[in-house]
Amino acid sequence: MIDHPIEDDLTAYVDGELSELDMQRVKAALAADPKLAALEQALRRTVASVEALPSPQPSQALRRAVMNGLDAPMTMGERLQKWMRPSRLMPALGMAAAAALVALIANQGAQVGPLHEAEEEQLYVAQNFDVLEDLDLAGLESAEDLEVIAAMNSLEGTP
Amino acid sequence: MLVEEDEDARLMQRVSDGDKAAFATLFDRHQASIVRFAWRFVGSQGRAEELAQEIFLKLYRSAKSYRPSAKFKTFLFRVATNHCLNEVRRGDYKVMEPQKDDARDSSEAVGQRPDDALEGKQLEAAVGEALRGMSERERVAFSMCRFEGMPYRDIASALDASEAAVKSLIHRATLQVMKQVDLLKAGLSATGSEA
Repeated sequence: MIDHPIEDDLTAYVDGELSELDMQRVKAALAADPKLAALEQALRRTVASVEALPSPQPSQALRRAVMNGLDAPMTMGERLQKWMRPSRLMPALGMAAAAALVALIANQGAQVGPLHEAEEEQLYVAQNFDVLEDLDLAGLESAEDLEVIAAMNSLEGTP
Repeated sequence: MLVEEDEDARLMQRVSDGDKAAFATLFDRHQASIVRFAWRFVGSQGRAEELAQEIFLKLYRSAKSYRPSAKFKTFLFRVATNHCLNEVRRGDYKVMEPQKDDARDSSEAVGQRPDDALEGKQLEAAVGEALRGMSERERVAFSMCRFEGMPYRDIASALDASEAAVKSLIHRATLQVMKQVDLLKAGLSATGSEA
């Protein structure tokens, strides 16, 4: 019977990613358990096979396309297409809804009282917390990267 | 290695000042990694280069907002990961379905004998099958580890996950590939014994 915690460390052991203490623990287990040792050897063969697979080299056309694209402004169609994508449209609709709510409350004037600037900011932050958090994590602040950032939460939520 | 990574961060800051030569240096240094990474998602060199082009242009246009709070390569792979996943989720691309022309080109590129090339193609297909069966996080972690040689710590940073989580993702992914390769070998040996 394979000890599961040790088995879970086997790939990291093969990759040389364990601490010295864990490395010694796995070595001892391998010496004592032929089934575990066979699995370790199989993992080593798999890793070697995969890492030896050929992979494509970029073409010169890619370099030309990227360097030529540096000065090319996005066309109106491309901008519209980007802003109509759900990952951008939904936060934008959320912000529009928040703005409408703020306007509604402000119009009620004396009955409710105007929102303080800090509260408006909090509302905005709360409305877009996930996006803003990810902007901060990635070190980006540009709206141009909302699409990239917006997928991070779903990526993190994947098991 | 650390010096080179620091140099990447410095280059990126020069890019934010509009230095195209600095961007070209960064591009030349990392284009192969990004094309390989994208190729593992879409299985076609042409499509992988389209994605790489979009990723690098995005990087250039966002340069003013770059903060060197993480290693540049980790930052780049975080952007690349999200871009590739967005494109795959949008349905424009499918995960790792190698096209015949690409498989032939990659085998010929390394000068393999026909028998080896055949086995290489089958191995590539087995790896592709395993990649398709993985979760997105397993696929990303596995690709960064096996094809880019990134250490677990950097992968954890790129995925905003703990090293323990990355260890688990890579272990599960490697076991899946091992099973597919075993199936391939079992099929090859059965074919060999029939002949």
